[in-house]
Amino acid sequence: MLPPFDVYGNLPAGIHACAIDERAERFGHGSPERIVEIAELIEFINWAKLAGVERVIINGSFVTARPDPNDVDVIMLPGNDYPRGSSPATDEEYIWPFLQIIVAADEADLLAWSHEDFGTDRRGRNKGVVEMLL
Amino acid sequence: MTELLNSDEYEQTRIKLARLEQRLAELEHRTDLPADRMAETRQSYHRVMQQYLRELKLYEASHPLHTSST
Repeated sequence: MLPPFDVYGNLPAGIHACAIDERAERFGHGSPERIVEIAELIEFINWAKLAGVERVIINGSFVTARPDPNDVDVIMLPGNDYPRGSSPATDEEYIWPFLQIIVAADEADLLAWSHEDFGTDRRGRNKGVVEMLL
Repeated sequence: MTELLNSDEYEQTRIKLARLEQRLAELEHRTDLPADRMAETRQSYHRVMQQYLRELKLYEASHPLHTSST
């Protein structure tokens, strides 16, 4: 289960595992932005499973207490047989205009994005990200 | 719409941009990554770096005495 937000509206530092159902219940309502973004995330997760994506990390204002998040940062780690006959993410992402998809080079790159780039907010305060369970 | 940074956020964004530039440079030197994977990864880095640059330039434009060292 995801932990509560801190006093700044961020998740505590670290990578927090989450199933899509819990994610929809926690983040997918309350504003038109959130409703559209959770719908796009569900579509993306379904595509990711078919395309052989191994890990998906979610960042951005979507996983904060902000009521009307701008977008959702999605860090994905492709598997060895990605994209399994599907189009690669960079060809598909235009159909998910609220998702900003980042393709990690490898596991270390995915962790660097998660802990360094997205592990702090704009003011340098530590914050957490969410790993979607595929 | 690009949000306007304050001075603290400007410094943090500069740090993040420098870190991304360094990591991408290191990735470009690797020979073990498939070309199509590297192309997608490079595109991802460029998109985020472009976003950071846009925010930095807006801050600098709104603070004319600020001298950028990026």
